[in-house]
Amino acid sequence: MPYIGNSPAEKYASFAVQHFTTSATTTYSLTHAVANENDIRLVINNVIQQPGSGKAYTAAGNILTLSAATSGTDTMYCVFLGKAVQTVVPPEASITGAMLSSTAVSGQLALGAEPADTDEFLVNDSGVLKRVDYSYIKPTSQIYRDAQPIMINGNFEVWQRGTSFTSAGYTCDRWYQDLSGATATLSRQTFTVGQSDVPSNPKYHLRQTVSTANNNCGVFYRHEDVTTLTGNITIAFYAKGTNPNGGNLNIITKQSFGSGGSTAVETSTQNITLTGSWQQFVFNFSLASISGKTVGAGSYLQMLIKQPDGDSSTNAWTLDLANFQVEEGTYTSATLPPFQSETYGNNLARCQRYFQNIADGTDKAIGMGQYWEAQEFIGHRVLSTVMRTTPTLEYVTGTGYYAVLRDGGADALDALTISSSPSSSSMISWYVASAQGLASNTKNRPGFFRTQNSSSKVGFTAEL
Amino acid sequence: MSLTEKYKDCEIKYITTSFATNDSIQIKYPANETGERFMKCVPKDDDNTDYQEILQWVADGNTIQEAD
Repeated sequence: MPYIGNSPAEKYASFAVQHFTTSATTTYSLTHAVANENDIRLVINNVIQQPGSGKAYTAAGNILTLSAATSGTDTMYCVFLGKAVQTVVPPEASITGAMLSSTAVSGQLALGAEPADTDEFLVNDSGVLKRVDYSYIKPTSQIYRDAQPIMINGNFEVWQRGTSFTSAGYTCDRWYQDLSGATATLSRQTFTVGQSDVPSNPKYHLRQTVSTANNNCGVFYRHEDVTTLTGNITIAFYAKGTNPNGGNLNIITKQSFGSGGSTAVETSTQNITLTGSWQQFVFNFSLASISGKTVGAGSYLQMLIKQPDGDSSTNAWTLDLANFQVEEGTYTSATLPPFQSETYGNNLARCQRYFQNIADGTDKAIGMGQYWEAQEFIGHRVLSTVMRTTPTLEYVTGTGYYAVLRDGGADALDALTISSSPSSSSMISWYVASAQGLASNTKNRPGFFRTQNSSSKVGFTAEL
Repeated sequence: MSLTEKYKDCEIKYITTSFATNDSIQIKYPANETGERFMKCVPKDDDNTDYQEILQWVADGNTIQEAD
């Protein structure tokens, strides 16, 4: 006979059974209510009992009444003939997504640690459900190699300005030595190849050797655009060294809202206590909301490691710093994403948004140009990366440190200048005239700038 | 360090070019014992940090020298 609805899946039915703990009694409780004694089959000592009044037993509701008392050595059970428990084994490949509860996962046990390499995840592989080991998908520095870390030059690999500095100012690319009255040397240090103290095989690390200390002496990094790092952030790095007399350094962040912007906001300080061995430090900061703030040109988030403001001791200390990273969100050392290494080329290109080393040493070309007038030489240079803003020209000079080469001769110079009017963040226009020591020459004659001394040094800076 | 301290003993003056009067600003730092010195030429760009500092230095009561 036909019926309405889907054909039932394969079914099995079993009867509910209750085993009794017997004693010297005629009354027992049933786990399921029954209409009368015919709803159950009672078995005592493996003998089926006859139901009915005046027979072996009667039953109603949850009460079973025997005609004679059992003893504690009897075995007794009943089968509920009117209660079948149906089970269904669904056909293969018959469970669809719609049959799953939206809470099917949340009710399960949570793994409270990183999965083992052989733990498995489910993946939709071109429409086919498959298992995949965690080892294939877990994050590694290799996976991140082509991604851009938030920090630029956090591995201290790019040193365009030099490798040792005793003055306050930018040193290792993107890193500023803040002396605050102290005497210190910031220098590049080389890791032994294959060392395992600091992961990801960094080539270099930064060392600040403070010989005569002062409060607020340290190093800082400025992340461009205060609006691009907000909320909770994590700052992590490896460090070792010796501490100021007060026993520790401080780390602090400052939100600077740029020229004409809202007043800068600093977070509370946290302490760094160095030892003679490399150790990883992980700090969580909750940045102030930027809602309602006015943001001007040149805004940044500053991360500063320094001798505490309240520690004016002058005792020497040393800070070694490696693998500096910043992450959005709150992490611990156990959950921190691995340090993201970059290729040197990518790292250098990102650094050159803020500083470009043009020439260092003698006989280095600086740019092409021509005599605009008899004593005016004008040239242009396309910058290798678009810089943050029209850059400042920085150079080291002395008598005859530079020259314009033209027509088989050279006109020596002591000073170089750039012209604001045509210059931009992508192209610089040179301007040199008699005021810079340029000798008279033939108008429209072409030539090129170059260095003429081993100490000549030219760069463009657009730092924050 | 205040800007007055930062630019102590520096010569700060305008550079006039064929393109513009007071086109850029030159900062000449004191020479060392060999006569070598560090120099900067700062463009008049409001986003340039050096230019911002010079404007603040002027606001603090200092004066940029006229161009040669």
